[in-house]
Amino acid sequence: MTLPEGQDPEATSDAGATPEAAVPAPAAAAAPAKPARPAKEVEPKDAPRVAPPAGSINDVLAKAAAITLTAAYMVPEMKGECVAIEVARDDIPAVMTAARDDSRLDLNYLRCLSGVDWQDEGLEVVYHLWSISKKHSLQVKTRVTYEDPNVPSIAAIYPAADWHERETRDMFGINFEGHPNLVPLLLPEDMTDHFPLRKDNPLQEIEEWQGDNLRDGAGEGDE
Amino acid sequence: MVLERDPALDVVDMPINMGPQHPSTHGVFRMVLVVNGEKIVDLVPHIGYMHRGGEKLMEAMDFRQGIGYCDRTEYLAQFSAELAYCLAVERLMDLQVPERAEYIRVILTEMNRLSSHFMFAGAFGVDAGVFATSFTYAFPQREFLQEVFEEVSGDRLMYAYFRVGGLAWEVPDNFVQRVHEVLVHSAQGLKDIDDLLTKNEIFMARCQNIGSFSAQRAIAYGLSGPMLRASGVPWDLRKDEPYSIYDRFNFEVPVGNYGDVYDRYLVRIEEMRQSISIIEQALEQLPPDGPIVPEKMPRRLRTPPGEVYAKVEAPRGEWGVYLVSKGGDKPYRLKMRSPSFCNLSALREMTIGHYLADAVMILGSMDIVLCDVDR
Amino acid sequence: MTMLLSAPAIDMPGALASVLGLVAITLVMTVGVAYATWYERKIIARMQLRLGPTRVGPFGLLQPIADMLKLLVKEDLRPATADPIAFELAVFAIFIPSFLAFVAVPFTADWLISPLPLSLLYLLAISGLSFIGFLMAGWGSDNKYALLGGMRAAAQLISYEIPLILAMVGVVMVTASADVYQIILFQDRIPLIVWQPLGFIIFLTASIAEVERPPFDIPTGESEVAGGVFIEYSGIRWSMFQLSSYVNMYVFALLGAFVFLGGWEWPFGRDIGWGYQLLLTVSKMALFIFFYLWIRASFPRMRVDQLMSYAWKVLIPFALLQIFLNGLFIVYDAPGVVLAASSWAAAGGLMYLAFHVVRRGEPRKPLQMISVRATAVAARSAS
Repeated sequence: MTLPEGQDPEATSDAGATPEAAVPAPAAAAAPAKPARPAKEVEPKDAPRVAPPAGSINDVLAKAAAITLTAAYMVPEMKGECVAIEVARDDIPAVMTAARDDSRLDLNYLRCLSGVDWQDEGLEVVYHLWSISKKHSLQVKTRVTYEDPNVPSIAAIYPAADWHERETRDMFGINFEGHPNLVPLLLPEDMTDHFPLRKDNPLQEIEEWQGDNLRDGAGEGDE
Repeated sequence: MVLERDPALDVVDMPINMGPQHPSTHGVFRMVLVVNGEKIVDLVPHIGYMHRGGEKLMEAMDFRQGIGYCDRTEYLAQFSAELAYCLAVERLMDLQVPERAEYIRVILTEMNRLSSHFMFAGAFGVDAGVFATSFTYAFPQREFLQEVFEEVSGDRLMYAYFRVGGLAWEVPDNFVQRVHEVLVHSAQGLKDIDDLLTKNEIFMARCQNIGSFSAQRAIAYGLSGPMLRASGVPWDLRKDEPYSIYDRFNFEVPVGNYGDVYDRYLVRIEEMRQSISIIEQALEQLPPDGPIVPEKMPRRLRTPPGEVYAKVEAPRGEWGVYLVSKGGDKPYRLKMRSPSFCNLSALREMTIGHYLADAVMILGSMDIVLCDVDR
Repeated sequence: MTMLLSAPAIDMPGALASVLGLVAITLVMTVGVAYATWYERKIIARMQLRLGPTRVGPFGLLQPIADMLKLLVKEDLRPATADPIAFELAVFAIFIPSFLAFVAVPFTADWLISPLPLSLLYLLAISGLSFIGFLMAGWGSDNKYALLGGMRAAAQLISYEIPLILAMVGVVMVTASADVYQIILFQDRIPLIVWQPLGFIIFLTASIAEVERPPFDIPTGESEVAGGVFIEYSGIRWSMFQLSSYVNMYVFALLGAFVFLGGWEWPFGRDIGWGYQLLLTVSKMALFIFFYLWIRASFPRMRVDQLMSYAWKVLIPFALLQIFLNGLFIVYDAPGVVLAASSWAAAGGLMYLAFHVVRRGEPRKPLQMISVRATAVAARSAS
């Protein structure tokens, strides 16, 4: 069986909020990131979303980059929480440049760049940023659709993103526009039309042979 | 950077394929070098020979099974990888790990750092051209450490000993005494390697001012661990974002001044001393008994929906796990941020302009684990 | 060269005798070299906390025989794209000169195939021929690593030939003879190492480079060019390369023993009988080889530019300095003590300078240590 079916397809995160659904907050943002909080209406099974406190990093960023955040909320970190923001994909270069260059943010370290396949809600790219001097972190997320999986590359802003973007392109087929050398990195050079980490590639379920999962008859035919 | 050449001489750059089968590419890493004489004009790294789709595989494994896969990914610092994974799940499940388990985790992880750095010192000496002497000095020490790991976990390489919430089982009775014994060996082995390499004139000549990386470039490239610290950035997750119980130990973080291969070597050697010190403190503070799993440990591991990025200071740098869960007992998405991968991405910029022999040294100083790069 | 080679050989009681002598030497040396590998493996193993060969015969003494058998029956491969002539003949271009050197080696006072009036020159010349073989092998293998290795070998051998010969010129000036036999006789009371320490150090360094042993094994550097010129060779051809490399090591160890340590002459004089003389020669040679192995077990490899700058910027100027000192000594007829003292002083200078030229940098700052102090206290709880 495919893995996604094993889980509750309804239990999607409200992060699925498509850019249209999100209510753009006023850029001036006197109120702290009131934006996009359709989260309230989502099923209770979802992780509750907490708005970041006033004057958080998201406000600074929105002002510095002169863009509107699609959403801003707190996500757990190992200790405490950090701010996650969702932005429209075309705003990514502006956001990243502001995050890196603004002295109040100084998010100069790109920790990680991941792709997530949210199936019906498209593909997501998650950027983990960290400031070595200020010791705060920020998650930046953006959504694209399967039909138009283009995201501006930030390899020129963070050289660290170079290989991460190539890997994400290999695995999810997200096309990072403007990347200097977007050829397959981990996959064979000619494997450009198949994206193994997307959810439409089913994985055979791994059978448990231990503990309470050991099913009757699981070992049939062995002896 | 393109080297100037004399147009009168019809010099053509020569591409050389190094790897995937080459003695000093540390596994199946391949780089295509373009050399002008012996100088490197360009370098194209090729990775992915060991790619097994680990992240996809882990989506099909429940949270307990995934621990074993961490070992297979970072096979020289298994405990660090397991720890990062466990921390991620624990944070999502909001589990409190018992004291004793935390201490044992720290002891084992730091011993793992020792064994990993011993491996580095041995292999790096061979890269530099010492006829295996550094290897034979380092490997007995690694073996002693592995013996303890085997006594604890039952396996020499794929430990799978940490569990979400604690440990798999109690350590052997003589654990503390054994660790003390092994630390004596390690300190001696460290001194041997130090004597053999650190002040060796040729070794210094080979390592110094090679592959230098400024702090700014190192941060931009997302280097971490000894690579970043050698470049002069005092950044250590154990210090800056203390996870587990690292805020209970006194230690020192060595930081380099030049960012070259020699500084990376020195930083690692010094880190080993600090690891020994941390282990000794941890042994002193270790509660003599107590639970090793939380009392209210659920029988099946299920996380609430959510996401978390957990990271630990592995011997090679920041080993991070970005875990997205939709609820249930399996990750919805699991990204392994491996330090080897991020460090290796800077290889090209570090190497261009140096000699062919330096490429080997620079690659050696990165201390990559190819399984971890390819995942 | 032909004249030097042929003239005395024809004058000898029988040309046959020298041919037979050479054949005998080749056979003895082949076995001797095989046991040099055993010696090397045992010595280096002890330095590396290992045991070395122990399984084949007592103390692994039959290991070289087993190795030889294995190498002889291995398939002899030639890459399809290799240049057949250069590839096949390269082995002989290295193998033959290295054995020809034994023509002029006086193992004892009476054991000498062919007395040559310029035997020192002959030895240096014949051992300098091998770079042609390295170039042939490097080019003929049609492999880029082999090509790099061949180029490195040629550059290295030619560069280090110069300090080697210049060091020997100093010796010739002191002893007033270019015959190894005469040079040995000259050292009946005091070995030349006392008079020419600077020359000795230069010779020692350059000879390691000439036989391509670590830290000068750049042409064959395993971790860089993966065997260099030998990369495409296998079986008997590969073992012939190894054989000649060890024979070269023997030749230079013997040369060092004869020219600087007094050979069979010092300290017991020439009347002690050939058995003792042979023993003396072999043990002095073993001393040299031990030194080579010791270096091999403990030093990293130099880089190609450091290698070159060391030869041209350090060794050659100092070799010229030694010649200059010797010249002053001859012209002014100074006492020997002055020569020895000046040479020792210059040797000290060489040692001092060598470290600074190789490294070429200001003293480095030590690592900064950032202290981290515990902020939390262990809850000494337990259950």
